[in-house]
Amino acid sequence: MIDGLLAVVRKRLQVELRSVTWFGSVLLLFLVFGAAAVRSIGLFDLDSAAFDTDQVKHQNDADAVFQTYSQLSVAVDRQPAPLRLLIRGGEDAFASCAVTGGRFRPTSFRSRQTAPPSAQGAFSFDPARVIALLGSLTALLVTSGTIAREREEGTLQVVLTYPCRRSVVLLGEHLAALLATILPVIASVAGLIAFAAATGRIHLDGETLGALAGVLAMLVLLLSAAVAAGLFISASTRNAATAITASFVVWVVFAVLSPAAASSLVTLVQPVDVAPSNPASSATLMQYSLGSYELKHRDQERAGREGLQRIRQADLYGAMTTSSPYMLFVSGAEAASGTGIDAYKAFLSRVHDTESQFVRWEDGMLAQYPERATTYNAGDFPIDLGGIPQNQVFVAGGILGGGVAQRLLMMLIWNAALLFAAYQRFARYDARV
Amino acid sequence: MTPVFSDIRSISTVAWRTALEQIRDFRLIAFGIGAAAVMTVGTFLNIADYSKRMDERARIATAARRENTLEAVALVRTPPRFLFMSEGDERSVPNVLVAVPGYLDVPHQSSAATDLVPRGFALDWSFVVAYLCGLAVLLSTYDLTSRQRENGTLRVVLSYPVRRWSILAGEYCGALCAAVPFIVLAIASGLLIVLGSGRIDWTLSDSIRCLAFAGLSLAYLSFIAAFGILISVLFRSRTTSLLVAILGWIVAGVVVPALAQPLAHAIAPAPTQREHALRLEAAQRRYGSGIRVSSLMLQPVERSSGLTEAAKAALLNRIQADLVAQHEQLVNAYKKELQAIRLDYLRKVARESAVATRIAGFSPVVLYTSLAADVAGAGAENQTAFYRAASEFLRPYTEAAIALRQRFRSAAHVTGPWVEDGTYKLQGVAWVSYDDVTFDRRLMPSFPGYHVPALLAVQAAVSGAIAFVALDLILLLLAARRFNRYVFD
Repeated sequence: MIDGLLAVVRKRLQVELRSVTWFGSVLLLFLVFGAAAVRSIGLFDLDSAAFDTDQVKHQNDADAVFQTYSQLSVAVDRQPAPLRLLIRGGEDAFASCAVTGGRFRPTSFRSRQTAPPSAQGAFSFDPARVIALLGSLTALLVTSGTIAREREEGTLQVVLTYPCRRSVVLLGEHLAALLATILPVIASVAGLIAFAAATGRIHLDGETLGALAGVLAMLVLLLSAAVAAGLFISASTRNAATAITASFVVWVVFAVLSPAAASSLVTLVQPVDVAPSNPASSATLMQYSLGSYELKHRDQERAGREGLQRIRQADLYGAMTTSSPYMLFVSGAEAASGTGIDAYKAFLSRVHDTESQFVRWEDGMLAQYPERATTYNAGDFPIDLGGIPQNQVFVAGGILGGGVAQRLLMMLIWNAALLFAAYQRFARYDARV
Repeated sequence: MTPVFSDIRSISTVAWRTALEQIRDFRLIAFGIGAAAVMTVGTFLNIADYSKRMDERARIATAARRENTLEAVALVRTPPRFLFMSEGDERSVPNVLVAVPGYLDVPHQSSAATDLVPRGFALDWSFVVAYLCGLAVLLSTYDLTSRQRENGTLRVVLSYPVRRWSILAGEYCGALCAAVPFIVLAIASGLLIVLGSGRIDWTLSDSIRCLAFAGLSLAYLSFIAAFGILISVLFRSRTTSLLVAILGWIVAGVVVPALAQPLAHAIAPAPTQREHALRLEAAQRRYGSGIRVSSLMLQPVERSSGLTEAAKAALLNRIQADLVAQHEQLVNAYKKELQAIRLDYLRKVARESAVATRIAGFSPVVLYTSLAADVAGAGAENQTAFYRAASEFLRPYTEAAIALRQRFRSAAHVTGPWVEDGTYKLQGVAWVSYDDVTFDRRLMPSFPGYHVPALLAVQAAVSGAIAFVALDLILLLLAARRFNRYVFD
């Protein structure tokens, strides 16, 4: 049986690697991947530089001489995840640092603002998205033609006379198509990672390699699901052109339409009540004292509610991603690389912890030196900074747990369902022309 | 019978047969109905989104009106009414402009409150027509001749006493006619939602916009049909032409727009928001370090012991006046620098996006969507109209604000460093702020708002239709040349 399987895989691979479809798709993939990689490396460098300057600034703030407790603040910097090189996730939307003022000032969040305005549209794909989109398309196009075309040409009748089970033939086709699509994909990912490691951008330590393994596992499962879907379509239709049309439509529905529909639906089901002080531009407005009224009053609470609603929105979107393997891959890869909402939530809870720690420290100090909260007289000794919570760096590591495992499981279920369906169709396939 | 008449007759016969065959084709039916369904859902979502935006706009406008000071005024943009037709640049155009006496400022985003949900394609009409209806037409035309060739019917058809090009022209017209009912169905279902929601007061100009949109869409789809016919003639097997059609769709619809942005950034790089913020901060530091008040400045008053108290006070007043004048000059220079930095940033961003649009315009899909944005009044024209209205508002506003500032000068809040030595006191001006000055807001001109004329929609639609028809002719000529030499082996 293994011999039969290997023979099918070998012969099939030979055919597929010579097909124009495979060659054309791979060429397109390399071209778009290259462009996405160049853009991603540029943004990677900007992020790193921004993180460094933010940290220096916060350290300088902490080292300055203060006379009252109300002037103090503690910062939490979020270190950009190394694998954002591959998948940017919410890197541009999430706050890059939080500065908490304890009892005296609200915690302020700042985003990194490194992406140029042009790089934030619906068409700005990161390398992992390019691979997921074009790789799954290649997988679908390569496989959907196989069974139907063999039937059209009449070779399927011959193949099915061999002393080999249909399930083995199907599995062989699946493995061969998967190998044919995974080779260029792995090559491009490995090329990008090797380049980044060689230029010192990322260090291939255990954590990064673990995250990379998570992303690659999601990728393999996505392509495998695409291959299984292609085989199912191929085994359900009677001619190659119909099979290719159907598989292309499936791709459009799952990779183009469903993400668009999900984003629109989420904003409808879970709307965000935008705080009045934040018409997406509060900084400049505050500079001109416009929009400050609400912030002076009860806006802190509203801004907090807005943030909560945004997180709920992201959670809802995360739940919707199970409806499409492409979206599932994106959210799984984000979770594995630490650029997704899971990592951001961990960052927010760290900020919250720091905030309460700082408030406790302040309370202790103010109990001892109540008069130094806001007033300073010439001749006062410097304030006591003993035991003050330090600035922190949040590293989105060690999250290769629940989120990724859950999504891997969902992806496996997709794979099993599609393969089972393909086998069901193929087992009853009437090979007569 | 004259030859021209017979040509027309044969074209119409072929068109009629093709249209009948196409309409019964499951691909067109499935896609047509699917597109109409997506259009209905998308319009519903967009209308809901529009009302949300209008509420948000009202809230920002109320807050802005309450807080307009002599320092600055926030001008709030109205979202275009036809967002369901095309989102255009809606999500990247600022909602608010700040008018400061002398210039307009565009607030840049710096808070963390951005959407955490990834930004997908907006399911507006232009998306549905460009991507889904386009795909429907492409997938139903890519094999018009190659299908007949594989069946063997082409041999019979070519034996009829009609010219080959008229067969091709007939098929083109037939395919287009078959697509019309589905487009009408899609637009009608979208319109039903729009009118049924009661969110938009329908006027004559809106009907004109809708007609312009339908015409532009038809011209775009005719281009897709011509492309489908060309590839159906070019390749001998249906599968090959199908793969070429899919490749064409991916390249035009996804790859070109995805490559346009990095390419534009390489050609005309705009600074990032962070770089812009850093430049502003640097200017602020330079300005802050320019303000000096020191006790040395009091020395001339103290040293001149021969003077009377009144003369000393006069001398002190002169020094003080000089200092204030110097600092005000410094503040003005600083404001000018800020303005220059902001204008430079805006110009570079606008340039980059213009280059990106030009590159992406090579793809007919993007060309169509950007023209549709103009038709809907949500494209670059909307942005320009907002800026134009704001600049027109700026002159009366500046005059009024300066006059009011003169009047309320005494109420202004002056901040700055000062030194004191005995009875003498010197103060520099770091900032004169009119934030807290209470005045009658009716004395300030109010921003009248703006609208994008419907004529521009017709203009965009007509120019787009001409471009697409010209492209059609080129593709059809190529297809006819090839079809004339078609041989059977």
